[in-house]
Amino acid sequence: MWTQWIEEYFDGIHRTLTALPRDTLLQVIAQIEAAARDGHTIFLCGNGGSAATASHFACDLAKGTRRPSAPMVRVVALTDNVPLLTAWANDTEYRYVFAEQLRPLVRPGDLLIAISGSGNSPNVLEAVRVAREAGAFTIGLTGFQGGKLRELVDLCLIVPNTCMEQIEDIHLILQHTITTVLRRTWENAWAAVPILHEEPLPDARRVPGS
Amino acid sequence: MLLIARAPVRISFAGGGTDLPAYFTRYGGQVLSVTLNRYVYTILSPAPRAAHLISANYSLFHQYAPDRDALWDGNLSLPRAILEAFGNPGGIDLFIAAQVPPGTGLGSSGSLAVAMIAVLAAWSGWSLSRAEIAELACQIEIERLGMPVGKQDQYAAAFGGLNRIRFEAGGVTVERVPIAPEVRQALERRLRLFYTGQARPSSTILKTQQRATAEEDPQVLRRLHLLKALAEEMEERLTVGDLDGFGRLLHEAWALKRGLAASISNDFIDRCYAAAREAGAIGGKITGAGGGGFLLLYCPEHAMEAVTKAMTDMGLKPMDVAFDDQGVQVFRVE
Repeated sequence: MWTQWIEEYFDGIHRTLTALPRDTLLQVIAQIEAAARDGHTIFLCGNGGSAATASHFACDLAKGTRRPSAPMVRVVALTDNVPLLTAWANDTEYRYVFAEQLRPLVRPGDLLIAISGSGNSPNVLEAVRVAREAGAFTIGLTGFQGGKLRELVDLCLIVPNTCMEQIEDIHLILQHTITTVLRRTWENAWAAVPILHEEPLPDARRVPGS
Repeated sequence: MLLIARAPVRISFAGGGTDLPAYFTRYGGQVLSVTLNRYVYTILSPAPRAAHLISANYSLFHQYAPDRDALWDGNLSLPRAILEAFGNPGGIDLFIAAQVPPGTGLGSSGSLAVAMIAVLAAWSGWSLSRAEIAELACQIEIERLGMPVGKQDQYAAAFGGLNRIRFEAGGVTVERVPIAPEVRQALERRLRLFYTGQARPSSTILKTQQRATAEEDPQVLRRLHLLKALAEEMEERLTVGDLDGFGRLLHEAWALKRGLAASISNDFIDRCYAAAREAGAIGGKITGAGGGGFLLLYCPEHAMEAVTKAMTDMGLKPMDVAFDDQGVQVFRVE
């Protein structure tokens, strides 16, 4: 019995990875890469296991991609400030815990990665609304049929599975995949830099009016 | 010691004309463009006495010294104005060379300005950001020299890459278009440039366009508004990886752009474009202000050979497209 359940679980993971839409994943990585290189901030949020993934993703994006000349990624997980999170929950409603943290921080061109297996977590949906109002790009990481998140975000990566544990597993695999692809991208980009020593050009990524 | 600066040239897909101050100060403009791995180079070497500025085709020569009147010939108004902006520094030789012919709609004068400013800034110890280099290049070309050009070339050359560049009265914003390397490589394979052999100064066409915009010619304004919107739609096609959809929009944009001014196209260009479409090209346009220069074509891979043959039969010379991602760079050689 146990052996069978184990094999079924492993099988589910295997089949889901095979069926994962690669073109959407490419678009997700391209959005994160461009935002990071342009110096925009990447925000993450989620509940339960997805909260852990949000924090873990932020950690890996911030540190795991760091290379001498690669962009230093500006990334904030909205799951990490427990005092602030509980204050908003206690004084308003739980659905505003991410949205109200996000409101003063988010700027046009920033990126929000909203993680919700069901795609229906009210606090995640509120955060997406605030991000969109501010002119940020929004990405959903979901499962099932994508839930309400699917229609609300600019780009939705739906893990084709209906088992919450497996959806959360795949989200974790995805974040490690994305981090690895970004690190290799930036390593390669700078390996191609010329034989000559580059005189450092101070780098203004985004241009305010001069 | 040598200082070498290089700045890429660019092709713009849509929105050219909305980067003219007459347009964007009122309506806000935007351009979708990409830089190519063809560069304008400026090489600076310290020279013991007088200073020289020499261009690779030897038709341009400029000699100046702090205590004497400058000697110069050829059309060097832009390099001269840049040297003036840096206080005509003495004791240097400057050598300028470009990988593309001037006047072919690839924005090479903006690239020249950016490369020269970057090298002179490095020499003078000025710490300029990419944005500041681009803005200084714009000021010199547009305000000091009164050239009827927009701001897109200078920003493209300074930043490099595939960008949506937005122009507002309050400033310019450069936003990278997020596409995966797979999509980008496919786009490179499906784009090809064909040299029509006709070089022209952009100033005549742009002057007409500038005047039409300033006088609020409703036909011109309507087309410019639509081209600006198309730039955004084309960016969206690229980010979702729909390259053929992008090609179709390129065709639409060319039809709109052709109608901006009679001189943008001519019989020969129209015949070439029709032949390219006949052979399987989906979209295309004349690069830059128009009237000659390069014909850019988007073709599905299976049609590229037939299209290339059709174009070479008409006397056009093909040039492969590869993108640059680095923008202006300065190298020091010890």
